[in-house]
Amino acid sequence: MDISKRQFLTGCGTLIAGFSIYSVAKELAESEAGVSVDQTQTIKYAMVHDENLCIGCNACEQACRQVNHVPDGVSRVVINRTGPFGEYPDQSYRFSRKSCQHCEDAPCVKVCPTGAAYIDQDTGIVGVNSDKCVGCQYCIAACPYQVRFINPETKTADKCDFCKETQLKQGKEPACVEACPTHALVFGNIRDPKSELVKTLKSKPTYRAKTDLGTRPKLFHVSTIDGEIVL
Amino acid sequence: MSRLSRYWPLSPAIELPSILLASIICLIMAGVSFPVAAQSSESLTINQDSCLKCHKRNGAMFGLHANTALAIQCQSCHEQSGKHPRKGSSIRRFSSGSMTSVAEQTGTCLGCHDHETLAMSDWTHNVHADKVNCASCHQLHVEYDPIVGITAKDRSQLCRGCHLVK
Amino acid sequence: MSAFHFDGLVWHWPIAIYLFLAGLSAGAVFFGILLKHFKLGKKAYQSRFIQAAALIAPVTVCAGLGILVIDLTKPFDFWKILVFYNSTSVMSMGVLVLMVYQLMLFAWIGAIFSAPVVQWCEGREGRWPLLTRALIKLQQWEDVITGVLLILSLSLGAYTGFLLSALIGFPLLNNPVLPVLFLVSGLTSGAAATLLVGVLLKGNPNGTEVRFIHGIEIPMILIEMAILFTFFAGLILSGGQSQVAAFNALGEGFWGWIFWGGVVGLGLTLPLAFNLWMKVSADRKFAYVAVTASFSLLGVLLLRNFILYTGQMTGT
Repeated sequence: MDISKRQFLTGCGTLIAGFSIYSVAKELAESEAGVSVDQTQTIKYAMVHDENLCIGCNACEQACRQVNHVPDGVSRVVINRTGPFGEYPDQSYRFSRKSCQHCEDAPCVKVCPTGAAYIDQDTGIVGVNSDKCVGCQYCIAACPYQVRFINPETKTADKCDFCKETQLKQGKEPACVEACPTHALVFGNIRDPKSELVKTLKSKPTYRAKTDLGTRPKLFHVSTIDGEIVL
Repeated sequence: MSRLSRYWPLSPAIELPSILLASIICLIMAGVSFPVAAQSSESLTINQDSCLKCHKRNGAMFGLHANTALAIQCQSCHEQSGKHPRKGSSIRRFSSGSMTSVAEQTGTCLGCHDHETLAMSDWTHNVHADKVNCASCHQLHVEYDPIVGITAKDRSQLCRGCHLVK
Repeated sequence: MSAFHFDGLVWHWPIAIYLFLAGLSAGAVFFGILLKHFKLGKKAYQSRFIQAAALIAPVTVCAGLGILVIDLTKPFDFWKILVFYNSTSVMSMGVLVLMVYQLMLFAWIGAIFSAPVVQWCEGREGRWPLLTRALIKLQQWEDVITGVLLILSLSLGAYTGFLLSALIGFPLLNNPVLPVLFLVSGLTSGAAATLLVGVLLKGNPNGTEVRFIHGIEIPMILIEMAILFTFFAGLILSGGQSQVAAFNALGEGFWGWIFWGGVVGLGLTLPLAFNLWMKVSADRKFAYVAVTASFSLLGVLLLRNFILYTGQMTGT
């Protein structure tokens, strides 16, 4: 009896090991295939935030709040201000946009147990299916950019979706882009070489946050010229 | 070079009405730092000022800076009348369209309002510093400077008034 | 920055308790299976310690899941986790493991206690024939059930660590050693809980079960210490934010005290010393076993909280 049990355990272990290797390998193969599919996708939305043009007026946040009915106390987009740099009266600040980066390899989508967090196949936008979300907050903890929050009204995870459900449906640009007085925000299709977005990306040096984590974010920043040089 | 100076060439594009609106609201930001009566002068009662013989009729010249506790006169900020109200007077005017230079306008305000205190009440004081006249955002001759209780939304619109790029 | 409220904190202590209870359940089952297989055999059901394990394992896993459900922002929608699955999500796979684990756990309990129950039913002239038949079936399948449950219990113990190590934004959590650490400490807590409840149920503190478990506990505490050392040495040697995270956690402050005093002192060193003392002294008394087990349990509970909170303190 003991021998049969041992054999069984060995069998089980081998089976599980085999299965896990198989599933990991399969996933790897799929993700490689996914990269090639990406190339043929005709629409992939992205955004550039030019920190040199931004004046920190917060018009983007207010427009977003109004259009997407974001309750007080939470926000889909925040302009973080650091400074002042320099001596009075020649001082400046640095403004950086904190909002969903619409990662190609989104950690929130990977960890979501119900599939409520998803990447829209037609646009590349990372969205939240409120009906599927149970509020486990795994996505909030998993997002390295800390842009997710629980909407106090719906009790589900919420964040920027490039106005997928509001402005884009009406053929308009995202609310923040429309509201920006200085054109610091450029939104567009990264697959369209004639788009203002691609032109901006090709004419200005940009950076993306925390790319070393392999998230491949689609929110680009034009780095501010002012500000301290920090080592 | 500061951020603002890079965009300064854009400012001629600013529409006048929006500046007026802005200046109405702008006169209040400094109100947060209320410098209270440093002088204890006897005769500095604004009500008996000769200026008010005309200006009382023309409009509300009381309010915030007419507070007797401040112990300041019209001349404290606007300088001696000189030829005023005739043309070519050297009187100091506080507005965007004024002949008085921005540096002189802001310098007058900064005579009482400390820039560090202003910076604490709002970060925008630092970037506008001596480059934008205070009256662009504040109002001093009304009871309450409207910018003190401004909503976040109106505040953004105020920025837009000057910074809008067509 | 206070110890329990800071920027970036998403998961609070209920999650730590859930991780503790899930690991404890897995550990109790693991030691229950080992006890029966190596020491007790067919008469296992008579042992107070097997009874303790069979009591602790289902109670803690259910309590843990209860806490998890209450902690959701939409607790009444918890069934959606059971309906929708995502193969890339550690949590989703963990739920799958938990469901099968619970099923197998009850089957295992049914199997090992089948003999006395069947006897009792038959003694009353064939009372509840359906139950008797089901239990006999379980008894026949006991080897399979035990094997699967053993693997599931180890998976569950490791899952509590994988759940946190999938969070790539926190270097202290996103650490390959974390699942091993949680597995080993979870097994320790299971052993401690089994001993504690066993002696509380008037099990013999000097019996074979206690000697067997203590025999495994000493090397396990040493392994746990080695893993903890590797865990933090690895972080410090990685440099960058990993190093910052390690120093933030271990340095002065509330959590530093919890780690050195609670986890290392009360949770590992004291039980190790007691265990070694009991090994050389002639016999084990109730108080020795109970106190050692309590310290072990406390240490593991503190470790869960320590890792959860300090992990979220430092981002990339």
